[in-house]
Amino acid sequence: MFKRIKFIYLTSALIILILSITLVTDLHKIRNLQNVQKSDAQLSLVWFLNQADREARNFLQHASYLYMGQQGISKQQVITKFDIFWSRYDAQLMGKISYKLFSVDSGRETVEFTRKILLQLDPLVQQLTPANTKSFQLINKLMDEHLQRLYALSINAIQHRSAIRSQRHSTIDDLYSHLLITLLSLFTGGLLIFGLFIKKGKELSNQNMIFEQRVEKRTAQLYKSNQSLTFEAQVRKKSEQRSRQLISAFDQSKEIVFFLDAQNCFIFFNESFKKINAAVIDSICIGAPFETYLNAVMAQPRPKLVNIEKQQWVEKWLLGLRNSEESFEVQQLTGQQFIFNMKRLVDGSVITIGSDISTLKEAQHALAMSESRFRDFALIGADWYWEMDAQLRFTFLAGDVEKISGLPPQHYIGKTRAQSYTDTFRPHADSTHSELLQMINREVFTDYEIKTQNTDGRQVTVSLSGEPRYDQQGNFIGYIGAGRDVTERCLVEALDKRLIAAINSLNLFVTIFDDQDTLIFFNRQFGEVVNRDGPNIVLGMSFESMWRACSDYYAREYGFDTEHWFAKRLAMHRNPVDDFVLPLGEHRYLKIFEQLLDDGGVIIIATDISESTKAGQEIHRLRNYLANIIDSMSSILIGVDRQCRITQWNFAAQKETSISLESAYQRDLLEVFPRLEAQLVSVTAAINNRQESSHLKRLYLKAGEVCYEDITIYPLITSGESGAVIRLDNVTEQVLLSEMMIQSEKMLSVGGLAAGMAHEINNPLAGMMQTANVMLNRLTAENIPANLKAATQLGISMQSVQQYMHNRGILRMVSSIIESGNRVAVIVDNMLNFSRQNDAESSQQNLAVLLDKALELSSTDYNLKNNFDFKTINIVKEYQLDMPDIVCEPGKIQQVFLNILRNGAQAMQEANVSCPTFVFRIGYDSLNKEAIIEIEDNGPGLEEGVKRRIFEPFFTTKKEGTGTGLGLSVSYFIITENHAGRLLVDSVVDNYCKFTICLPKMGNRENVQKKFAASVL
Amino acid sequence: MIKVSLLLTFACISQWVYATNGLPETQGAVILTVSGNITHTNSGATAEFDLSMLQAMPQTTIVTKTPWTEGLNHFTGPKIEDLIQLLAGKGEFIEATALNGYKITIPMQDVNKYSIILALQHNGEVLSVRRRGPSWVIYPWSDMNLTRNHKFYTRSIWQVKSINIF
Repeated sequence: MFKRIKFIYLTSALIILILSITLVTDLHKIRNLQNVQKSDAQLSLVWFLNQADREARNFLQHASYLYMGQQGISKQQVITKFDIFWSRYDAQLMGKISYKLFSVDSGRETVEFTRKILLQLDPLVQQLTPANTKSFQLINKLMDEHLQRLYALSINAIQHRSAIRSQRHSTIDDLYSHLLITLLSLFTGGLLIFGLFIKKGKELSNQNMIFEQRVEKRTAQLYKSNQSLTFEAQVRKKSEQRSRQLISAFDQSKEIVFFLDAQNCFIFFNESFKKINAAVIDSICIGAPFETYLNAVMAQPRPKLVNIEKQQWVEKWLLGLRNSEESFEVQQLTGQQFIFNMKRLVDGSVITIGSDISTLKEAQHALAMSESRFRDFALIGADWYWEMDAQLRFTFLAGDVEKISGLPPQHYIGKTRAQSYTDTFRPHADSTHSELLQMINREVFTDYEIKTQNTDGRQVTVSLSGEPRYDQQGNFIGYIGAGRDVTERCLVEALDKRLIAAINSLNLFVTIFDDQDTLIFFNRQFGEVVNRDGPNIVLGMSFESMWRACSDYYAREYGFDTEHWFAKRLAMHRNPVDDFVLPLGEHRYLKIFEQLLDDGGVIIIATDISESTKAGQEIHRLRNYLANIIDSMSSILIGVDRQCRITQWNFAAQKETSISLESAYQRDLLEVFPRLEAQLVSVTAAINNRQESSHLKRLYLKAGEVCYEDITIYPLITSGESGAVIRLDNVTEQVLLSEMMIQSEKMLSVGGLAAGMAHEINNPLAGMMQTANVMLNRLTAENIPANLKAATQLGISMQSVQQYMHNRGILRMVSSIIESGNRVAVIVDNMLNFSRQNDAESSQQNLAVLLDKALELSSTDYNLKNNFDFKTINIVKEYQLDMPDIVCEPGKIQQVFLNILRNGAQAMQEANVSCPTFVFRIGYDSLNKEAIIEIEDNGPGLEEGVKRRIFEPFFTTKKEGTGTGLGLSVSYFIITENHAGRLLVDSVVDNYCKFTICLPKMGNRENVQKKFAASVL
Repeated sequence: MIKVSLLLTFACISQWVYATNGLPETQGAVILTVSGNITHTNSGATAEFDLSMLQAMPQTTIVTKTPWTEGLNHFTGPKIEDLIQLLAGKGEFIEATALNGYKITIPMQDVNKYSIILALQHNGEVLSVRRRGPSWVIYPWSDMNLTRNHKFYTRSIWQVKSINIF
């Protein structure tokens, strides 16, 4: 372990050393490169070369200018430029730049070459004058060479600098890598060392724990050892005490006890042993061999034992010594029989315990004798036992003989069977006495039944069995036998016979199987029918075999599906189900019933139910047929019993109430159909008095809609049980249709009348109204000359006349005439609207606009305003957005709207509706191509009677003088006659009143066509 | 290390005092032209100097190493501070221009703090153009460690042609 740690430490130290050297080397390299770069920054070689190049070119440029004679360029300037150029390469003033130059390829050569060039140029510059071609050409050539060299050097310098830079980068990368490796190594090393410390710590901890456990274990062992020693001492003490107690117990015991050591010498014997062997007591002492004892016993004179028996006696003992744990019986010197149990222990010593079993042996012998006798009786198995002597006289009787005969056993002793009979106990008249004959013949007889009559007079059947007995010499010494009371068995057998006879007479197939499923009985019907042509069913067959044979037979006979029904019947066997019906073939059925019996057997009863099944199916079919007829009726049919509980509930009733037949069945009529409450009396009358009743066009509400129905109640008697059938027919449509027809006829007649009347009334009315107006004019107008003239002639002023008229109320009366006349005019005007003539022009109109205008007119209607503030009414508009225009006469349609609004508003006002509301709905039924306008108010609604008459002319519910009774009649005509539409009213009292106007989109085509024809003609 | 010859200073002082009274005209080739915010001039708004005029001013020698020369070098010439004072110049910067057009701006702080000179001689030889003359701005690099860096090396302009004070 330590070696390994040492190795790890050394390796770590070596790695760290190597890494440190690498890092130092890298740092040194970087330092050098930094120095190079630093110096380069201070004195850049590239900069120097750039400047040198610049100076050279400046010089050459100025030399060129001078050569070409350019103005402003003097020779001194050229010389100065040359000197500046020169200054760049002066050997004393280059300083550190020389080293840099020399470190670059071709640096030294270029510098030396340039200096040579400069020396060559110096005289040429001095000689240069304008147009001195030779000097200039030389200068130019030399400068060209110089510049090329300088250019090459510049390239080298740049490359050199790039190389240094890349070298620096590479070195930095190396340094980074090395640093990373170093850090990782240090981290890994740290982890390793930390792990080693942890491990070492754990090892030390474990060692410490093991040491502590050992100490604890050792301590526990010592403690246990100490306890063990203490316990051992206690045990030893107790053992010694027990030994003493045992010896004392052995000495007091009647059993013989002696111990032998491994060499079969006595180490202990008790007092009983000494007492038994008192004759040979000298041969018995502690340490004496057991064999000496045996020899001493043998030496004793024992008259009952011969030598061989003595020898066997000794061998028994020796065998006992060898086969320890086996008990053996030995007779002792005293003649007592002992049973010894010898056991050799592990150390070779022998423990022997002997018990005196002499008494036990005798008892066993007596018991054996007794058992022998009773075994004989038991073999016979009877209610009582008897013995007879050679003269066939009873010598012994035991058992229940007295219970059966009423005579005690002593009565029979010494008597023959015939002698034993008394007046009260005698043979039955049907019985015979042949048993005596059998006895005379010394024959064995069993289950010989004798009918007797006991002292109670009850007939008793006894079964007797007996056998002759002979002595050792073969002489007949009598009979021994037993008797049994078999009265019940005989009765049961007789009953069985009767039952079987009864079962045989039944038209059923009865089979009985025992607990082992073995066929133990089948009745005559089964035997005759099944076994006539079919399978050979015999007693003793198993159920499965029998059923297989039957199945095969049925398959042949009726086309029975053998395997399916075979399996199904087997599954049902001993798992009884109700109404298991076996279809044997077409229209042939067998109903099978199984009943498990108490003894584990099973009785199977099969009934041919072909006929009953067929009848049942027919009834079922008929019932379904009738049910379908009843269900298919549109009328609601409800059957009730005497207590008015539902017995019949057809589909229409279910549909009407949403209550299924199962839910409605046997429930109270009013509970499931409460709206028949008013007809309950009629239903009861129909049940009790067999009285049929009808209630026609009875009104009822269904989902807020007014409906009508005819109710007919029929008395019904079914199976002696009285009840009733209630039929309800929905006649709403018929009622509405007839009402509509009546209304139409009424309206048509009124229309004709009104048109005639209007013309007749209009003429005198016009005269009357005109006269009234003239009267008023002549009585009140002061500016009319004729009035003034007439008054002047009479000597009175107009004021006097007016005053008189006013005081006498004549003006008021005239005004009243005019007002009444106006009302008559309005009535006449309305009546004229009944006329079929329609001169107004129909055009496409926006119904929403018309309705809004009507609403506006309503709010400004003087009469209406007087009675009702229209602003208090909430207006709800539900207009369809894409409503098409409708062809109609706008004025008339507005009049209709106005009439309806006026009526609604007045009704709401009269009823003091808290929140009066009009709901306007305008929609378009694209299917029927008609507009539907609904105007609904939440007023008091209309009673049924009012609703039916609301479109009648002159029918009004308003106070006298406030309504003409023509508004809605006119509206009705405008819609139905002029526009070929429909005007409907729907209302619920105290809830709402809704007028629905249906207008065809294209208006009244008949009118249009008439007009078209008229215009053509 | 600045070595100023006291004797030379005393010998020239009378002439220097004379010179301050008025800037004489140049006799030889003009080697330095000073312009800008100066009071004393001799050529319009500028002050022109020939070599003798500059040499007539108090001379200062700076013994120092430079990046461009080997070993210790002796540079001698007037302090720029004296030159500005001679011309009663005022400003925060001076802009020196070389013969090849190179320009550098030197803060007046350098002039006062480091006593930089306009060297006319190098190791006893008058600076020619070939030796980066006729004048060369020299800092006392060896005496002032702080000046041994790239910033001050770039301000050491040689072949100075003109100075502008602003």
